[in-house]
Amino acid sequence: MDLLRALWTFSWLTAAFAVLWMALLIVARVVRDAGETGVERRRAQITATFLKLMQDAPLGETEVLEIRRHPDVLAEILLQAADLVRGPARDRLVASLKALGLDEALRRQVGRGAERKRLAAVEALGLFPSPENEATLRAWGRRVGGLVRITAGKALLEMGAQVNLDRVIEDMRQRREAWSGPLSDLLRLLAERQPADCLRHLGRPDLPVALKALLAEALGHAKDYRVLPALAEAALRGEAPVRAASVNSLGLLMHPALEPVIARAVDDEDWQVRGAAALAAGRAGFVALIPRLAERLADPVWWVRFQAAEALTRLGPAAWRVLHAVADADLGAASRAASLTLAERGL
Amino acid sequence: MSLDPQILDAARGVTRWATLIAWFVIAVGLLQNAIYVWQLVLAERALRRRPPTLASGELWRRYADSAPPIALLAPAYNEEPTVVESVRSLLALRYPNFEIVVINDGSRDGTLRVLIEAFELKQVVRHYDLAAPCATIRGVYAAANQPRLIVVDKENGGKADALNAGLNLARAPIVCSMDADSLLEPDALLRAVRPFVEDPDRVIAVGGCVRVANGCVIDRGQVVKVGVPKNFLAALQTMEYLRAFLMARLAWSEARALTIISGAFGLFRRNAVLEVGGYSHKTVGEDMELVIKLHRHFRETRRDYRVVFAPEPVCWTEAPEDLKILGRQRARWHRGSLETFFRHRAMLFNPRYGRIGYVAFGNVLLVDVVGPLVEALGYLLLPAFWITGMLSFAFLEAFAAVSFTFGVALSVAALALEESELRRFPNALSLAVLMGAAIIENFGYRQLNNLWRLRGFWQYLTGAQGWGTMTRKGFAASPPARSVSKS
Repeated sequence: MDLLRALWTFSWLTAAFAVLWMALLIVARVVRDAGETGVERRRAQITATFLKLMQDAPLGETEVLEIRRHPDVLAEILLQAADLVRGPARDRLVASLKALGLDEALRRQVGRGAERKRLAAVEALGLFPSPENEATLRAWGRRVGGLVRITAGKALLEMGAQVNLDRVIEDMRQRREAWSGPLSDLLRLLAERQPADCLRHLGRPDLPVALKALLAEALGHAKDYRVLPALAEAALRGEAPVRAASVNSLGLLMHPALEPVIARAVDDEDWQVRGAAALAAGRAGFVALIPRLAERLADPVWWVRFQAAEALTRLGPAAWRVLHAVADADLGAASRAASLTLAERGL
Repeated sequence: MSLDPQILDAARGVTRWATLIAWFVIAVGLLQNAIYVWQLVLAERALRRRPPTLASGELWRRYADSAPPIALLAPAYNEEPTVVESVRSLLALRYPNFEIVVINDGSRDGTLRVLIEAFELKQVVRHYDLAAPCATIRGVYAAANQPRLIVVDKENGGKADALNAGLNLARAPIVCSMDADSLLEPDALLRAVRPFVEDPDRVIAVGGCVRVANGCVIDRGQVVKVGVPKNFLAALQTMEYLRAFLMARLAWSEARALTIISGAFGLFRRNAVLEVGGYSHKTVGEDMELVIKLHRHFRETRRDYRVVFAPEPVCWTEAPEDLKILGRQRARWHRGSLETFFRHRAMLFNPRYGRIGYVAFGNVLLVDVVGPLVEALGYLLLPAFWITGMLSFAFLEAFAAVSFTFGVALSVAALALEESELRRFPNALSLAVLMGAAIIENFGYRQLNNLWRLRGFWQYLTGAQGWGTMTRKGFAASPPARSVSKS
């Protein structure tokens, strides 16, 4: 019987504890709501100060002090302004803030507060190229993992500094969860600035397939034809995800010399590679691939049929004639793909 | 005067049985509460460790470049009063690359007509897949001035059938299933897609948080001010949704055993859904059925995958304010859960399915199959045993502990968790009201809910089919800004 009584008493204690916890949270909310009004006011003040700076109007000492005391709000408003304002007005704003030494306040913010606030400060520091800011970003990038590290890398590239790709790759290799979208953004930026380094890693046999696919995908954004041979090699001989990513990237570069590579990829055993190759052939205007694309209209995978038909609509009257011929014949899925695409495109 | 020993023996036997039953009822209740506590702890850990909540602008800056295209699938059946407003709100979503596929599932009212008129739709031809089984598609409509919008007119086949049609028509690698009468927050897609962006190789499905819109101020299809329902029943459901999503689903996601993604707001990899044959017909729980099929398929093919719950993206739904409609909805939900459980019963405690077979299916067995029956047994028998002197009062107290007081603790703790980590409710007063609801719901409402679940059980056993009528007031009304709640 004691156990039953204990249960009863314990349940009352837990209920009382939960109610007390919630009551305290309600009181805390009253206090916080009062504080929030202050934050909103501060945001409005700092936004007004920014507008003054963009118009080259002089600032009072209290206005500068207000910004310096709230680097978290400074970072937040600055990033919003940088998204909205471009050109001379933005340059004037950044130069004025730097002249007032406010990037120093951001450097302090990088090391304190909630992760969201630190991230904003790291990102905002990228707008102020200087040796001190670069050193701060490098130091925190090394010390902190996850998003702060990635953001620090992007901020360094934004300010025109170098980022050690070897270290980034090593970091990604060691941490499975790090192969994420934000990191692939960083890789794209690195591929634009340091394509040769990316190529060196793409050829490494010891890198995981997913990582190599990310590198191949990033190289498509390099806008540098020197990457073509290595990407073509990866498109033909890499693992399936690497081949698909490489063909996608080759499709973005649209170089005429790629036709034989795309032609082979159109017949690849992996449907994602075939789909990407059809898309690339249409984008690059490879008219010589019309017969192969017509064959792909009967592909067992719908996505490939769809991409092949779409590609043919891009390749001019000769390709349209092929589509009409397939549509008129009784070829099942191929005829359906051709006729629906022709109707959809009004051809 | 001495009693006949035979009578004494019989009385002792009955008392022994009564004691055993009481212990069984209390043990089952205790086990359920232990699971809820475990969920609370896991949910708290998940919320504490989640990436920082980003403001809308920051979110766009960080994720827009790598966000994959999404096709929103919105099935509509007899939604004439609300469908235009709902589609307008979907068109206003902030996401870099998305298309909206509204599927008119053979509505008998003017759903298609109002859509054609409002968006100046014209019948078009579209090359689409025939991968998922669905009823005949009568036509596809598009608008010259709304390139994101596609309307599919098909013969009636039910929600699963409509979603399959949408899957066939979609061209994006990610599809988002939703109800045509739910409202997504403007940046809900960008928040929900984060797991796909951050773990593109493994994530195959993401469930978003569904919250009760009653009491909120809605303007042009968007929740502009969060509020607490004035209607008592809706306020109780606000707490229920909080527990179901913020506590239970988050915990199951953290334990990598999430088996349900709400049909009102879930994102899936299109290829993964097609691999399992799309949505299943002949079930009212097509959302749970799909997730279970995905688990089953990926476990059987030994692939690494993730089904996750994201607490930040929010979809607002209108909760029933009428007992009759709510009862029908709950019975249907329970029937759907049982249909899926028994259809995939081979997964229960089967090592091939790992934690899905042991933990997730074990939980469904305890909470959905055994739980309602045992709880009802407790309400009926334990007081009777006590009145007839077969049980001591301590048993009744222990039963009250597992059925009422622990329930109060858990409900209030779930609200405290929300306030500690997400803080979506507008002010202290709304929190106080909800705390009241969290306490009160355990006395009467919970028991009523159990009754509805038993009705769902009965419907399952008798093979009842169909959804029943689900009447909603709708978000769209003449004043531009108003509260959904009509007290």
